[in-house]
Amino acid sequence: MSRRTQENLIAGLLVLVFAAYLLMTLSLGPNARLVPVPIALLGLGFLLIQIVSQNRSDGREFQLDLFASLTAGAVSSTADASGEEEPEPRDTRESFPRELQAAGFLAAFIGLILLLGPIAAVFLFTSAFFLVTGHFAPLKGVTVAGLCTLALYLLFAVGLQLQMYHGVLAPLFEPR
Amino acid sequence: MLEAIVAGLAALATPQAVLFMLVGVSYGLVIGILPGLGGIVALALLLPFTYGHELAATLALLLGAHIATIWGGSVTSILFKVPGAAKSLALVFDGHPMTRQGHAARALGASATAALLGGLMGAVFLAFTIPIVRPVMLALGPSEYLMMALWGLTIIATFSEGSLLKGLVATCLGIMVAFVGMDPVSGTPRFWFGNVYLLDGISFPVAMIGLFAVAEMMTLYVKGGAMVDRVSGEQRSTVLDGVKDAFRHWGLVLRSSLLGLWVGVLPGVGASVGGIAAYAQAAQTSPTPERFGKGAVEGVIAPDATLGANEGGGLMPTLAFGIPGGESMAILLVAFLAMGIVPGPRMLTSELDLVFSMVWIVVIANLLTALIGLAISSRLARLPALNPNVMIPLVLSVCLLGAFATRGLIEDVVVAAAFGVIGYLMNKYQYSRANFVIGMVLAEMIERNLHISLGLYGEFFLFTRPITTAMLVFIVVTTALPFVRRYRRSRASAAGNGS
Repeated sequence: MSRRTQENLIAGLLVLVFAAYLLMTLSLGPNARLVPVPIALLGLGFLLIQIVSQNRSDGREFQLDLFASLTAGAVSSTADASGEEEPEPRDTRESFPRELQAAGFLAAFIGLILLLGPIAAVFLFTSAFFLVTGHFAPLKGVTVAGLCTLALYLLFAVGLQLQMYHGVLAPLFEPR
Repeated sequence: MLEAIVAGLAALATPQAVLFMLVGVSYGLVIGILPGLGGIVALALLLPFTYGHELAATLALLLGAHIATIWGGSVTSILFKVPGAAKSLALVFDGHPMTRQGHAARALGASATAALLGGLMGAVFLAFTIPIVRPVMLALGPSEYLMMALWGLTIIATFSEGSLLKGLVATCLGIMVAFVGMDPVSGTPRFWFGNVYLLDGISFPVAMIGLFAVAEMMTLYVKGGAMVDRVSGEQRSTVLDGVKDAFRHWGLVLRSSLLGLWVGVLPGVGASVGGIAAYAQAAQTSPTPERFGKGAVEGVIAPDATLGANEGGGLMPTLAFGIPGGESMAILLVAFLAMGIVPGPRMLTSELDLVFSMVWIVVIANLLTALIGLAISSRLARLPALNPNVMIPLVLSVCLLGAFATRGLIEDVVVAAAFGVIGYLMNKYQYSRANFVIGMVLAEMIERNLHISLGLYGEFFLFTRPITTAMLVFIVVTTALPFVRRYRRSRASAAGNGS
């Protein structure tokens, strides 16, 4: 999938978000929608101009960044004001499996937290991550994960006295 | 007044006060470094420990912790591109590029020193300017605060990663997300989908943890390799270089501190606007603005000096009028009342020694934070060179636990993860995350002040309030200026090519 198609897909998705948001404001009173409506309309407007702009045949985007504006053009207009490096052209086919893996790791971690609670999930996730990536030998990986979990437990549960969530499976382990 | 200054210091010369100050600063540094847990959480967690101790010692614990969280937040911005709090966002712009170039120790040194100098100036101004600032503060109403929020929004609207339009879309998205939950004026539930969790709105620190920290870890995994290319042994500069940088740019430190003090004095504006504004003025006044965004040390010094001075400024309305300068100050106000300190004009007369105790606490806490910060900076600078296979699970664990810790709600962990995916996509397709976050921060201020202004001054308040009108003109001019400059440049280059 070309970069432009991907950009159009994202922009299309955002158009749907803005449109749905606008629709939802219809059920609100005049005070409650006083600011959300113009903001959603503005966002929708900007997005439509962006879609037209990114699909222009010359491929030129309506670009302006902070540095160009502050420095009277001393800096290239593509400089990244947020300190992030210039966008590197990524090979989508190459990065997509890695992206799926990253999302998978995150989903698995969240799943573990919901099932077992944060502390047990941290131990299992870090141990599994070390084992899967092979960064540490299995025993060392589990030991490092255990020490990290202990440190986090001491910090959050003991130090900050945070009432921990024990997961949806907790009732199974409770004494009857 | 001299008596009050001496009495204020003497109250802190007890073993309990010294111990509480040390504990507060150390605790604040740890909390500040944890993503999402800023000064608000630090103060909220300390509240139960504030009863039954010496008044000055308790104040040292609270204020010391609060001040130390500021530099703690800067550390994660500089090293990991993860703002510890919204106010530390501007530190990401040049601090992280410095880390990537092997100047992390220098950036941390400059950051700690600038925060110290800013904090000292803030304390001095707090001590001497209360009578001067009071009439100015009272002259500003909700319509002027609305204009300030809009100014903040137009300033950051230009912080776009490439496309200005995408930056504006991201800002609108951030504002829209902030409207989830109860309408602050009418109490109408909005965009809550029948979910009670959403009635409280999306927690700002949770969204930020997701957008920056979780998204960064995803990016790191997809990209592979360490966060910084250079290993710790190849640091190109030292902490001392950073300290010298801060002193060399004393003019910038002074300007940024004054800005921070002013932003702190204005109730409800918040330090996040100050940090961004400080960065913008540093770039505008620099003789070499082309270095900004690529690792200019001035881009670290300016926001940190502003944040340091902001605390002194924030104490002013809290103490003098009982109006908190920000969320942290609101919690501090609660603590003050619990300790029997009643803010108001009396603080500036019969309770002046207590005010000076606070001034001294700000000074000493800033000094302690800077000393500890400078001592540990060179070690902290090695962290980003950690192998990603170690860093990813550890940072993710800390961040998701941090998300849970903000309100003790498990739903916040899921929301942080969802924002992580959104942040990854925003980064990939260059919809500015910084704009999104600042939109979220300013949304409530805009909505609340708009409603109050309409109620108080009528529909045409923009033109009936002279200061508001002047500020509106200022906003229009500063927003239009970049476009005019760009147009002129393109015409000049077209003329040059033609000849």
